[in-house]
Amino acid sequence: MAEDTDKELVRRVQKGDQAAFDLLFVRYQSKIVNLISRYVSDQEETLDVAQEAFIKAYRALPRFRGESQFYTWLYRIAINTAKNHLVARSRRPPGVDVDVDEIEYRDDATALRDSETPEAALARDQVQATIHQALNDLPEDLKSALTLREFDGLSYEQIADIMECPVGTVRSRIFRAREFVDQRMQRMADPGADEH
Amino acid sequence: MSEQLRESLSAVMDGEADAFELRRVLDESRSDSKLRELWHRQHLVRDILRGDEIVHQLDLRARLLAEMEELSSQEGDEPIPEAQPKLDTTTKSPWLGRLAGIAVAATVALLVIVSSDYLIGGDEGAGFVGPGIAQSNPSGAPSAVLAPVMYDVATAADRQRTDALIIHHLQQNALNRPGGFSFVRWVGFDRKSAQNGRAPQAGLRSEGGVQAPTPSQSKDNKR
Repeated sequence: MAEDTDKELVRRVQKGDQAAFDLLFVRYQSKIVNLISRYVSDQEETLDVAQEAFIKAYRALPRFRGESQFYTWLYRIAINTAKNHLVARSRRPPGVDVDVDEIEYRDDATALRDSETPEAALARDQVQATIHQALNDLPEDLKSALTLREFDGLSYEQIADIMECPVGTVRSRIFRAREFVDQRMQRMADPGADEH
Repeated sequence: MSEQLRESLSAVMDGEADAFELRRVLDESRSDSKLRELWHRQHLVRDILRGDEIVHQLDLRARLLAEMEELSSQEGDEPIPEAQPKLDTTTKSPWLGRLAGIAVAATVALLVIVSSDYLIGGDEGAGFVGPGIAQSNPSGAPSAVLAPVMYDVATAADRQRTDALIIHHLQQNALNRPGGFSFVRWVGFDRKSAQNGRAPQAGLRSEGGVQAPTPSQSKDNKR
């Protein structure tokens, strides 16, 4: 379960493993930035608040007892940090809190995209195009496994039921699909680089 | 990085790895920066597929890693030296570029400072170095921690001690430099404020343009 991954990462951070916090950060940075952007519209301010929220979480993690799920706890820190930021800037925070359970299913990157520079927008479009092209170029079985996982959020077991294959096959297909996409991305970033 | 390890990482991302695989991937990630970068790229792909990619362009990770490095160096309660592999802090921050330059100079100065036992007499220096070093010094003898050591034969404890002394030097440099309000100085201020019972200042930043807490922010913190 994904919670087990979080639990183990949290346990390691609590024992002093900074690399584990880096992995947790990468896992949740998009969600946290998007969440904060609902309170703070300026991109630079959003990043400052997100940075502050992660640092608060890093400092508070030794006291995290695991009574709630890590991401719920982290989202609460982010929301409170954003609200405090608005109060400190004498702006009123929104009256209604964002529902933590809905965060996974909402896309709030629009406000951030509005403040992108043309160069950043171009780079984003290029990366997006590469990934979507790679997805289209995947063999059908790999593509189905990856999209069922990433778009639909299904477990390996559920995907195995749908694709009528063993769970191990699903795992292998998803892995190979990711490798394929990753190789395309690396080739885009450095056209001269060797593949794995 | 073996294919098996990469496949395990993929399963860990999905929360589908068994306990053994999970531990193995996380153990490896402590020392294998390529594995961490793969984790990062795979999450970028995931976020793009889910429409959440924007944050990956914004350099937040580099900023956070730089700040975490600073916090680890500053706080005595930061843990277990061998559990602290050097994380990649590849960043565009001009502050880090300056830090690298200062650190070289500080290392040279450090040899002089260490050999003259300059820091032993100062409360601030001993207080700063003490907590983190005492835990990591295998001999347990406080005076022994200041003995000069060749860097290439240094133990993890020696390296941590060196890092701590460099930070101390930077802190002193920042405190004595007119007009400058560096990150290091601010963190020092923050720690002193906390010790005096005041709430720590919010809004730490790792980049060159570090903001001093303004009177209005201080007021806000007191509310």
